[in-house]
Amino acid sequence: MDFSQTQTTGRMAETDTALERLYQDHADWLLRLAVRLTGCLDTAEELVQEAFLRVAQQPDTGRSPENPRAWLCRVTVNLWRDRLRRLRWRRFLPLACSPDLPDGHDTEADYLQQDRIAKVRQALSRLPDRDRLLVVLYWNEMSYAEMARVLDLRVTTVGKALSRAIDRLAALLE
Amino acid sequence: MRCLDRSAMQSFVDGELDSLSADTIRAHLSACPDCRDAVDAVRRRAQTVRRSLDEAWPVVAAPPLAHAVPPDQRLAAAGAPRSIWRRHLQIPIPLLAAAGLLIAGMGIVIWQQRLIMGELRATRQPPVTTVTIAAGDTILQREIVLDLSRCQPVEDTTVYVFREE
Repeated sequence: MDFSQTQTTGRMAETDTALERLYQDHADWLLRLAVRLTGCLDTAEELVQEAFLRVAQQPDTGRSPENPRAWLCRVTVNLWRDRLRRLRWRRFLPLACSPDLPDGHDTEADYLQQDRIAKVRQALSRLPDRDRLLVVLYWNEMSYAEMARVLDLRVTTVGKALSRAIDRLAALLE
Repeated sequence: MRCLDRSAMQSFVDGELDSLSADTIRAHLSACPDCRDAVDAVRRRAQTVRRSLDEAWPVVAAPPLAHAVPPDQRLAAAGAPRSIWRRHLQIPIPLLAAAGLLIAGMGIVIWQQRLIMGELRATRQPPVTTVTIAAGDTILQREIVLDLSRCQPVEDTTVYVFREE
């Protein structure tokens, strides 16, 4: 094995370690965000997988970005937008979620709970894309600065847009 | 200080204001019951929304990295950068299709125009101008054929020369 091969192998191992660390720190959080955004676990897993594949594609994965969480979130959100665009243009499908509701229809309480869950999911899916994104980012405990980075907004605009989105969702939930 | 707007209330509730602005708002809230009630309502609404959303989605855990992004896929991804088309051309397909249709339509119109012009040219006889010049015993008669589309004489003019008997 010559020097360049050793160097390449070393870089790949370094990249793998960096990827594992990123995955360990952020994968659960990112999957939660993707599930909330798409309303579907399978789609969310695909988005997260694709986002981490993009990370693996980066030549400088060894060097962690300044804010990896916001960066991963931005990649996932862009992938989600691409997917929405494709679905809307090609199939003209409405964006209704296909949630995996828990089974169990035994008691009246179960029915009521299922009804409530369906109502909340439907309300979220009926929000305009940007509002839904804002609510999901907020719900995933991102700061205004992180939201601004993901959405290409000024930090001062986030409060205004977010309050509007929350009010719309609250109105749909009433 | 003026009463708070909705956006300032949200930023205050979320702890997104700098300490000076937050202190100013706290001072205002202690003196303004309307704003205090409104801020409480904003806080309650945010909590209700969060609680409802938490209830509607179960907590999920990501699969192990080896399952989500297998090592061979990582290598394949690293070895195959995305195509330049996919990186730089993010034009929606319907838009591309519409542009293609427009270009095709324009092509058909131009082609038909050329066909019509060609037919016209074929059916109409080109005008012939005859110029006769007499010099001594020689008469030079020249026929000039005009090209309709260019409005200028075509190069190959026909020349007839007659001698007087």
